[in-house]
Amino acid sequence: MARKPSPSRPSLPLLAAGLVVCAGLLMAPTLTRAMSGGPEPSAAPAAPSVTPVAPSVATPPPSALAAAQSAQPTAEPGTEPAASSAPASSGSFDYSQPAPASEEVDLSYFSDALFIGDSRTEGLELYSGISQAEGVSFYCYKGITVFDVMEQEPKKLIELGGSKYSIVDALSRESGKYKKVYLSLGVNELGYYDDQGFHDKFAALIDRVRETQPDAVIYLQNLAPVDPIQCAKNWPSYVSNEKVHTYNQIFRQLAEEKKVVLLDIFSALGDPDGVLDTENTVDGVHFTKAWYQTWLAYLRDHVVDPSQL
Amino acid sequence: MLRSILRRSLPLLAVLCLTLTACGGSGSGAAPFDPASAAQALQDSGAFSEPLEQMDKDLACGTLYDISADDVADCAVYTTPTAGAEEIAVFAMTSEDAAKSALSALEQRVVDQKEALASYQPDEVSKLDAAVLEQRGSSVLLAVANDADAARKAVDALK
Repeated sequence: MARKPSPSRPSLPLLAAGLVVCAGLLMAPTLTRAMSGGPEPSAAPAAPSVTPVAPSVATPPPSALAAAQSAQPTAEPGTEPAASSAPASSGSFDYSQPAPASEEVDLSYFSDALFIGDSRTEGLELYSGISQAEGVSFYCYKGITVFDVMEQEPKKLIELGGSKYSIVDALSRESGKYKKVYLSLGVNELGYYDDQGFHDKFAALIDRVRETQPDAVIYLQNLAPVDPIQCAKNWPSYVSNEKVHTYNQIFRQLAEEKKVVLLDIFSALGDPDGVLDTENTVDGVHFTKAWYQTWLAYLRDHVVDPSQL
Repeated sequence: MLRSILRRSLPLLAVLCLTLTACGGSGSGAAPFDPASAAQALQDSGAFSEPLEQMDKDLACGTLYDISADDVADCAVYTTPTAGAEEIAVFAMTSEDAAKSALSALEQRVVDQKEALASYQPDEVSKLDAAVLEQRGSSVLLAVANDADAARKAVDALK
């Protein structure tokens, strides 16, 4: 990035005024976080954007991690979403485990599928060949996080019928349309330090999907690993597999809590050492065209019959 | 007398003829872009720093750009799997009017990309600010490159 030219030297009073304003701006976020007891997610996506986001001051409650590790779903009092929770399971599906391999489905399986995600889901749409499934839909946006999706007033990013909608409003507008919904978010949250918030927002998103798409199999995709070598060159240090592991534990917990089908994208796209191989990524985070096709191949042979759920 | 009038009118007629040939469409009378060779020339120019993958027409029309596939005679579109800004889009449309609409769609693409990348990959925005965007008759071209000057030179060299 080219450096911008230096501004002309200001006068002394102006410099002093500027220093006072800067000091005030620097102190304000700290004061705000201390008073609120927890951070708001950064307005700017933390990862894999080059712009670093300061980690939150508040220590995330341990409940999200502890629950994930014990595989016993827990929720802090008052944090469970009020909307419809997981339906009673009538089938034999084991939600504590990722979906097992199945017979490969035709691309037409995705004709009534919706994919919600970030730039990697955009890549799936553009480079995997899935767009040949006529009718497949994508609600994806570069840099988006689950915090953005579930904001009080989320941005209108999805164009439908000539108007723009937020993802949640688009889900409502297209109520009942989809028979499969694939969720893939989390890589842009790698620089966040609000694991409980991540869990809760994702739970709320799953509830919203279930409300608006009641006949859909909900597939929750965990995070693919990153390539530490390329990430060291291209991305801030918080773009790491340590954080990927943390979120994948939360996804495992969510799948069981919410009775949604977990897809183990981490294993599908990672190498035996649990990293993204350099040859399969263009920048440490985003995949090559061939690897997006590998992702699609995994989706095609890991489908679940709704009658099992 | 008639001969005299004609002799005096010759320079004016010559000027008129030259002006009319230059009014065949945008681009100072240059031939419309051939999508494949224009895209190749851009890729060969060294203007791009990211890997580029070719998009098929169906993905280009509707997913990437609001361009009606029925109005597209031919196209060559390349985007980068890094999710950055670098991009080549060359469309040969069925008419100049269709090309005008396509140009608007490409302009909107630049606007949308700037909005999407502003906080996600802010370093990419300067590439969009320097985007090469041109209509030549019934064809349009968009090039968002790492080296805008090299891209511009490559486009200007296209006859």
